[in-house]
Amino acid sequence: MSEQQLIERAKNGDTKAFEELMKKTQTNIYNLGLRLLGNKEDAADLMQETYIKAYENLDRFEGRSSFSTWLYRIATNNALMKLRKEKNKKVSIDELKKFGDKSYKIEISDWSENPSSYFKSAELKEVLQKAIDSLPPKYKSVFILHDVEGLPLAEVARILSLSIPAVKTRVHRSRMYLREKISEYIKKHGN
Amino acid sequence: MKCEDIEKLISEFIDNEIEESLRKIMEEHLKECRRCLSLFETIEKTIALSRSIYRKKKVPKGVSERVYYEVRIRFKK
Repeated sequence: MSEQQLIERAKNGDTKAFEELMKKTQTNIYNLGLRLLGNKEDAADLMQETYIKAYENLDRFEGRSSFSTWLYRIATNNALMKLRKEKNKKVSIDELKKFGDKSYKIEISDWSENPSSYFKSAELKEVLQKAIDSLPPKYKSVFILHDVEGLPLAEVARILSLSIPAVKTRVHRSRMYLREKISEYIKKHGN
Repeated sequence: MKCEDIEKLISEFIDNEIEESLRKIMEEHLKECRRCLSLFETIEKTIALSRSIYRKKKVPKGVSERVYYEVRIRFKK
């Protein structure tokens, strides 16, 4: 049965059809929750809230975007609300804005030739994980959706109700900031 | 093209969002400029490393069942 047929059936109260839609999409929604919120419990809660909200609003789904984009939109908006309540220290937007400011000279340290084993270091991954978690929610969500989930810029823009140029700016600043954090770590620990 | 222009456009270059003529100019610059090439390569590595820390996980069985149950009881109302 096609996704469209399942949606129509679910709209008419067919529980099995809705379960089928959940089965097809749940891995993506759960992993999005893990990536944005960082732990299994919150990811499970996010998944539950997303499907309940999707069910409650199914009549409003008109098929202008794919069902999966629509679910991502519900899940990301819910996750953003949770992320905004987080207490951990975030990098300021002003700090991120300097990437793109002509007066700011970025330091380019070249670690592109480091052996691949170096990048398997658990400590380096932890540094990067912390840096991603320190991104303000509106940057973190864009970075995760585009660079980790691999969604196209236009789809990320649709999910977050942003313009494509705004998505591009946030992607660029996030990448530059994370690259700088890795550079700092490598500089400190030697090649 | 100056290095600061490359810095500004490098993400769009990586995302293939640059029109062909400009792309060629950037490619030429990257061949000549070790600094900008390093920037390009280290951003690509940053993205690859970020992907590697978020490997896809299976949804725990108990979680799926709980969500199905919660949705089902709402369908019944």
